[in-house]
Amino acid sequence: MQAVLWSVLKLLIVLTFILLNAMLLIWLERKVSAWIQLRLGPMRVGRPQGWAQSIADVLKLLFKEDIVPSRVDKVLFVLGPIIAFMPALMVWAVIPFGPNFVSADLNIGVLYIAAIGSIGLMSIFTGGWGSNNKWSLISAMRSAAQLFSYEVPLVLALIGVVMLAGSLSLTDIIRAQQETAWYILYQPLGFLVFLIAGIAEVNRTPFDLSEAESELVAGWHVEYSGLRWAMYFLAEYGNLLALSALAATLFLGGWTAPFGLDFIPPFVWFLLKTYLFVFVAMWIRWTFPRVRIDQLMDLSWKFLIPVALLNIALTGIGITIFS
Amino acid sequence: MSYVRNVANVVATLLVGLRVTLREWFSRSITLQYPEQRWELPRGYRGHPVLLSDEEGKTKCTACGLCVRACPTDVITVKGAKGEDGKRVATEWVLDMSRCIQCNLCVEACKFDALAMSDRYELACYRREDLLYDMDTLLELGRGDGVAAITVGDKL
Ligand code: SF4
Ligand code: SF4
Repeated sequence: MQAVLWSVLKLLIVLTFILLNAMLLIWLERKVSAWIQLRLGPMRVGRPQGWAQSIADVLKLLFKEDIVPSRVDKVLFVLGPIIAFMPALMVWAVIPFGPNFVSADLNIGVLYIAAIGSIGLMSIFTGGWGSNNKWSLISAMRSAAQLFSYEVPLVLALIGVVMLAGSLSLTDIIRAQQETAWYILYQPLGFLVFLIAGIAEVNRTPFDLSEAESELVAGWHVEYSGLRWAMYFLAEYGNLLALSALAATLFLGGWTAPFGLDFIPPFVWFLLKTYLFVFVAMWIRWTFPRVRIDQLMDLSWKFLIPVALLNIALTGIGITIFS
Repeated sequence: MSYVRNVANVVATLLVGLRVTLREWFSRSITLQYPEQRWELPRGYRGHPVLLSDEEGKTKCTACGLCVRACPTDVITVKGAKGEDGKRVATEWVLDMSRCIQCNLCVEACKFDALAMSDRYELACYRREDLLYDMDTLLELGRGDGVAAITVGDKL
């Protein structure tokens, strides 16, 4: 009984953490985009700097009418946004926030993450198919093609890290980085591939073909409104946060304090590193235009996968020589 | 080999783009927080015509009607009468701001320096009738700061 309560409590803590961070990220995204475009972004709701804008937006969306269009597949339509939240939530089970501060230290953590990464596609496809809308369907199809292509380099990039650490558990990977150095130094190629494929995985510009406002209106969530739409939106930022946390864990030593700055708690370091990646992702988003679908496929199959394979070969050679 | 060169080229151009956005990121925003911050209007900014008054605070308008003729949109209504000193003065001077195109022609037409363009630009109001500015309003506006910037005889 106590174990069950404890798990529920953990789930609630993680859920609150994700939701608060997602709201913060939405605000940050608007601010960063504004700064890059020499604007100010939200300034009116909450001073200073309009910090309460996301809260106001979420409240507004909560009170909006819940519209279910008449010809949709009701079950799938309702299920879509709920599934969208699952991968964003499940990733956090294995990510260590600090020493002994991890929900479930699975010994196959990396494999687990690679596996649940594919659920994101399910939510997009469920919503896109269930909406009974041409744009949604095109978007869902594109998304399927995109995520299939980018899952491969993403996992290949992880293999280099796993080879170095000799373990699939995220805690072990962090410990291994403490003994040597951050893996971004050993795996620059792998990191590059991970970053590009990761951004494609979370559907952000320049790879947001499935959302492409200018051609598909809003892609798979065209028919959604109110709370359901908010769930898709929050899940998107939850995914971004999960990806950033993963990048921080695998390549920047997770909660490890750099340069012996131990007086700052590990949890803070973990957040700082995570947000570093968030900023990089935002920077990339507001710099590059969206790629075409054929360019998207080319990038994955003709560049990322060969490079990821090369990275694995180099890592193997390196390990053999130096150990 | 051309593949490698191509990739190197792509990476280089991507970095150029990232540098541009990074520079803009940390440069000052050009947004003006409107009601709190305002533009400093350039000298000679043309808002709408107002009436100027003499030292005694009376209108200089003699109701000659030149501005009425000059106005391309026909929005000025002037009525005059003989004053105590035998000179004609305007008794009614109405500007229909809903149609004024702020062209300055009335100011140029006036031979008595009775008109000037003010720098007033916040003209929004709730009723259309509120856009009919009568003589008292226009005289009052003519005594404001903005008009001083474009002084009499400084016709642009
Ligand atoms: S500014 Fe032009 S449109 Fe307006 S009242 Fe004068 S002449 Fe007419
Ligand atoms: S031109 Fe000048 S003096 Fe004549 S009616 Fe117009 S404002 Fe009055």
